[in-house]
Order: sequence, then structure tokens, then C-alpha cells
Amino acid sequence: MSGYTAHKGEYLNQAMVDVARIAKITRQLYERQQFAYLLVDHNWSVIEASANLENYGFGDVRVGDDAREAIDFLVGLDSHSTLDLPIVLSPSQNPVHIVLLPEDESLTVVLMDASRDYEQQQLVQQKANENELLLAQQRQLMADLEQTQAALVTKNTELREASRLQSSFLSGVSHEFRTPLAALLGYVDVLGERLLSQSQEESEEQLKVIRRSGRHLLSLVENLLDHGKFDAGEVVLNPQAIDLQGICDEVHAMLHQGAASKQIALEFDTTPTPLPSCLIDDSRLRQIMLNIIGNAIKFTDEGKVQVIAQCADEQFSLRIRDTGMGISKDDMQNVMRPFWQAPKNGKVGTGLGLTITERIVEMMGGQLKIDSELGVGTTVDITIPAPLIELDQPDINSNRAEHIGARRYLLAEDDPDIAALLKLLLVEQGAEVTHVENGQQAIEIAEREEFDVILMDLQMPVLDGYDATKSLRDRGDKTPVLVMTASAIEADRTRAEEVGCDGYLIKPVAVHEVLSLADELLQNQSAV
Amino acid sequence: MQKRKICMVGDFAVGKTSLTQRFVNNSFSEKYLTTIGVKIDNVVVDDTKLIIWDVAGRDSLSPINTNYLSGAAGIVMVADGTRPETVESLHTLAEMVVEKIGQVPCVVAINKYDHNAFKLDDEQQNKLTSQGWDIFKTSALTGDKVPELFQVLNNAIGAVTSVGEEA
Amino acid sequence: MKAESDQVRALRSRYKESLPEKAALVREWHLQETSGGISEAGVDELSSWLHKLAGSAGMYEYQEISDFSRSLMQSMPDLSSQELASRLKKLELLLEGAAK
Ligand SMILES: Nc1nc2c(ncn2[C@@H]2O[C@H](COP(=O)(O)OP(=O)(O)OP(=O)(O)O)[C@@H](O)[C@H]2O)c(=O)[nH]1
Ligand SMILES: [Mg+2]
Repeated sequence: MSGYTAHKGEYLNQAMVDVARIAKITRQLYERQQFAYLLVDHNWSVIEASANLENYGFGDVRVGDDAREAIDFLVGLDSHSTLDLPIVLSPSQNPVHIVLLPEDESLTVVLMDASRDYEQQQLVQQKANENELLLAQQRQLMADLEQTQAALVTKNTELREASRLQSSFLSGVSHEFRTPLAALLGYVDVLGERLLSQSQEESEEQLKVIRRSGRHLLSLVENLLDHGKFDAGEVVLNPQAIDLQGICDEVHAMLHQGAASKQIALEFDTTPTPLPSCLIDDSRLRQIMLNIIGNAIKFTDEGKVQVIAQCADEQFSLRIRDTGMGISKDDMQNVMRPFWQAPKNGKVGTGLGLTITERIVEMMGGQLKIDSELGVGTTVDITIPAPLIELDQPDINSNRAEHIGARRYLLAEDDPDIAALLKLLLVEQGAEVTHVENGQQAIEIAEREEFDVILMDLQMPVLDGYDATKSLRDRGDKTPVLVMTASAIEADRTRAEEVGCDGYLIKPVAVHEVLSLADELLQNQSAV
Repeated sequence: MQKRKICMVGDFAVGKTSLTQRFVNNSFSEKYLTTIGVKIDNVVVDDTKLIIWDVAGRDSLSPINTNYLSGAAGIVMVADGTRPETVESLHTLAEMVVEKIGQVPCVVAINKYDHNAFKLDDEQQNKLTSQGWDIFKTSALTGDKVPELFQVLNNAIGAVTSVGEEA
Repeated sequence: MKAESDQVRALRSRYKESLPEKAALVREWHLQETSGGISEAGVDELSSWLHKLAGSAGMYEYQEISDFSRSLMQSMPDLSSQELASRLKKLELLLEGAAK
């Protein structure tokens, strides 16, 4: 007992030393681990903050503050729940591990350095994700490859079919050429030998065959050429004021002989009679009619071919109905394909007529429809836009011509795309356009030639639009200058006006804008 | 100033970090640096400071650590329009979000709209809109629809909080 | 009906065919800007090229490209390198899109 009392102070001492040592170790641990903590009440008001909170960028947290004001990641969190956030990166700070430890009256927020964990995981995760992306890409590439392969196979089949059609066409066409050529040459020989000995009637008959064969060859060649032109995109429409009734009469005259020789009737029915005049490419219209009506006659051996032509609402519609052999459902899908010919129909041709006709109709903005029943007959419906015109009112036309046609434009524009389009659009309106590529060339040509209006781009190489205009004015040239520019800046406009421009247009410019502004300028000028 | 926590969630490499950086710093990087844990950023929208938690994406090895979602007032779900499987993922992601934090306003970004492999077919789109989500075809690269994405989310949060409790 | 002649159509398709080339040029500029920045002379060249594009794209009815290049040309002096790069990227995408 006395031993205990004697040792009591020693025990106490020892205990204090131990406590102090534990405290020291703990502090060292805290320091080594770089723990930091924050004690808040459940309303996030700070009760205590460890000094090293500063190391985590939160040095300015003070007792009594709302912790969420200073520390963004606390926003929204629940102060009553335990929460473990292993790696959190805040702007310009090292990764931290954050733990929320709630108690009855308070919440401890512990922050620990997580740099090591972060770096390790970053390396591993980066590798893993990149690999997975690569794998996904590979899968995608394989799928693409398979698709491309499939597409290639299809394409290949199509190409083979096309080339088969081409060769069968070639052999067909050679045959087509040979027959009439042989006939032609044969009769020429006969004619040559017998010119003196045979009767007039015989000669006439032979001449007829020669003419027919020649015509047929010619139409073959024309179809072939047209087809090539379409493929090369060289076909150009040339609409003109024409008399529709005249064309119909002409076509009737050309074909009725052929129908009569097969003892079938060719009827033409026009509403109104006579048909009015309108704006259409006449030679192409003739071609369409000859092709379709010619086909109808060709494939009809008894009965009649009926042509119903109507013009209403600026539309020209044609219905060609025959009582011929008709087209089967299966063949219907093929009739429009180039070089295709119905098997064993006993008729010959290039297999191009219908294809070309459809393409022309389409180009004119119209439509072609075929309806047919095998053994009953075929009906072809064609509609073509046909803007009406009054042929005999010359004053309107001449007025219009004077309006724009007589105008000569000098276009100074360095961008070839803009120049080409603008020039074409103006020319289509009847204007005469000379194009140069810079201001210097504009001045030179304006010295030698007269223009009504100069269209001037502002930004050009060698000499820009401002300087060119100024130079023109300095030389006393008063031709109206219309400036075109892509810039919508007011200062540019002011500067253009200062150097003597008369009008100002912002690109993109529309032709009618150019025309009407030019008109205005010229009228002002003539008024002065 | 009022503060709101929002979270970016989605599969890995869909562009969560890129969308955040485009919106916060108006910057973009072609280089891919995967996010570990969560990266926090903030930006002010209409007098509200949005605290954006850019959470590490889900990959085949690790699910999303939903602890990071605690207390979020809204969610931006992100998928990659060039990887259809990441669009599919959105549905399971949404379930996971609701389980953790309940129903909160949510917008969907189908990202990389600039990419020529971007594809979002009608069926996928309908499936997303039928969930009542606002869909944005975003590009962190060009910045297309990025401000709209965050703006709409912020408005939606404003609408619910003004009805219910204000945080 | 707005009748458009074949020649106009031919010009249009020629212009359309030139769009991928234009997109490639923008890509080149984008690359320059993101790898060290476009030189001062290059900036002038780019600006005058955008000016042309604004005009021609408009004439050929690519309104969005025209508007975008016009506004880019006008705002170029105030843009950061980042912004310029991202707009160039957008322009490239617009051109590619229009070429399809
Ligand atoms: N083309 C394109 N690339 C993008 C876009 N957004 C992101 N990327 C790229 O996609 C890759 C991944 O982008 P991150 O933003 O890092 O993706 P994340 O969703 O944050 O990925 P984790 O952090 O791994 O979940 C990077 O290489 C980005 O450059 C985009 O809109 N368009
Ligand atoms: Mg990320």
C-alpha cells in the first residue's frame, strides 16, 4: 500500500510522459500524412480549423464563418451524413481525400493529401481507357470495312451489267448501221448501173429506199450523239418564242406517211385550236414528239395512234395513246434504261430514244409517264412548262431590249467564280459584258471603249476599286461606277463615295439589283 | 451569391471534361487526359455560382462512385455521338443517379456533333426524349450548344427550387 | 417558276465542287493557328480570302457560309487565338457540309 503511494507520483509521471509521447507521435503522423481538419456545427459555422488547412488552399477559413462560403466542395452536402470522397481536385490544388464525420453537435471534415493515389490511378486508368477506345475504333473500322466491301460487290455487279448492256448495244448498233448501209450502197450501185436503162418508177422507188435508209442512219447518229452529250452535261436548252400549232402540224406531216404505210390511223387532236405561242426549245420539242409518236407507230401493227395536245395554265401536255403490243410489267422497269431493248419484240432501234426523251423532258422541267398493258396498248403522258407569249407585240419586246439589251457593262472582278456567274446572269438578261480582273485593266479598257456602267469590285490585286475609280474620275471619265463589295462596313461605303462611286451594292448581289440600280443611275445621268 | 452544385456524368471519354472546360474557360484540347475521382470547377451563370463536379467517367472496370453526386441540384448526362453504346448507357446511369439522390433536373448532351462519325438515329432520340430530358447535340470542339446546355439546366433548377425549398 | 439556265447550273456545280478545296485551305489555316499562330502576312491573306468567300458564297446561295465568313473577317482583329482557331474549324465544317 505504502509502495503504491510511494510510486504514485512516479506512475503519474510515467503516464504523463506516455501521453505526451502519444500526442507527439499523433502530431507527427498528422504532419506526415498531412491531415487537416475543419470542425463545423450542423449549420456549417466553423468551430475550429487546423492550422495546416492552409496547405490545402483554405487558409482564410475563420471561426464563425459559413464554411460553404470559403470551400466550394461543401456546397450541397449534408452535415449529418458520413461521406467519403476519395479523390477531389479543386482548381490549382493537389488532389485531396475528403471524409465527412458527423457527430451529435458537430461535423468534422478531414482532408488528406491524395497525390500518390491520384498519380497511380491516373496512369492505370489512362492506359485502360485508351486501350478500350482503340478497341472500339478497331471494331468500328472492321464494320466500315465490311460495309465498303458489300458496297463494292454491289457496284461491281452494276458495272458488269452496265458493260454487258454496252456491248450488247454495240453489237445491236453495228447491226443497225449495217442493214441500212448495205441497202443504201446496194441501191446506189444498182442505180449507177441501170440509171440509163430502167424506168422512172423503178428509180423513184429505189431513191425512196435510199432516202429512208439515210434518214434512219441520221437519226441513229443523232440519238447517239445526244446521249453522249447528256452524259457529258453538254446539252443546252434554247427556248424561243414558237407557235405550238405549227410544230404539231409539222410533226403530223412528217409521221403520217409512215403510219399510213402500216395502215394505221394517226389522229391529232389539239385544244385550243389553234394552239397558242409560247416559250419553248422548238427543236427539242420536235425531237420529243418524233421519238414518242414514232415509237407508238413502230410498235402498233393495227388500230390507231392518237395524239392529244393541250395547252392550259402555261403547261403544254401531250398524251400519245396507241393500240400496239404494250409493255409487260417486268419490262416496264427497264424501258427507261439506256440501251435496253425488249427481248424478241422483232423491232430494232438503239434503245436510246426513250432515255433521251425522258432526259430532255426533265431538263425542260417537265414530266413523262408511261402506262401500258401488254397486248392492249400504251399511253405516254408528257407535260412541259410553256410560258405563254404574245408573238405580235413588238413594242413590248423592243422596250425591254432598250431597257437592258443595249447596255454594255464593264465588270472588274478578280474572283473568277463571282465574275463568271454575274457575267452569265447579265448576258442572259441581254446585256453585253466585258470582264477584267483588276482595276488597272479596267482603266485601260475604259480608255479605249465606251461602257454604260462599270461594275467595280473594291478588293482587287494590282489596283483596287477605290484607286481605279479615283483614277477614272481624274481622267474625266464620267461612266457611272457601281461598287460591289462583301464588306458591310459603313466606312468603306463612305470612302467609295468620296472617290466618286455612284452606287454601292453588298455582295451577294442579285442581277435584278444590278439592273435596276444601273437603270436608276443612267436615268439620273440622262436627266442631268 | 447563391451557389449550386451540378454534376457531369457519363461513360469515359465522352467529353465531360471538355464540355466543362469549354463552358468555364472557353478552351478545348484534342488530347485526352482521363479524369480521376472528381474535378471541381465553378462558373457564374445569371447571378448563380455553379459548382461543377466533373466526375470520372464510367468504364468497363469501375462504376461511377456515386458519393460524388451527394447534394447535386442538377445533372448533365453526357454521351458521345460517335459511340452509340455510350448513348445506351445514359438510361442505366439515370437510374443510378435517381437511386442515389432522387429526382433532380437533368439535361442530356450528345457530344462531338462536329465529328463526321456522329450519328443519333430517331429511335435513340425518341427513347431519350420520352424520358422527358432536354437533348442537346453539343460540340466541345466548336462550342456548339454548350452555353445552352448549362443555361437550360440552371433555369430548370431555378424553376424547381423556387417552387420548393431554396437551398 | 425561276428558270435557271444550264450554264448557270454548270457554274453552280463547279462552285460546289470547289468547296472541298476551300475547306482544305481553311484546315491548313486552322493548323497554322493552332501550331504557333498564323503569320502577320498570313492574317492579311486570310482576311482578304474570307472577304472573297463572303462574296462568292453569297452569290452561289450558300448564305450561312457567306454570313459566317463575313462576320469572321470583321471580328478577326478582336479574336483570341483560341477563338480564331475554333471559328476556322467551324468554317471548315460549314464548307464540308455544303460540299456534301
Ligand atoms: N471532335 C470532338 N472531340 C471531342 C469533343 N469533346 C471531347 N472530345 C475529345 O474526346 C476525348 C475525351 O474528352 P474528355 O473531355 O476528356 O472526356 P471525359 O468524358 O471527360 O472522359 P473521362 O474523364 O475519362 O471520363 C478528348 O480527346 C477530347 O479532345 C467534341 O465535341 N468533338
Ligand atoms: Mg474527364
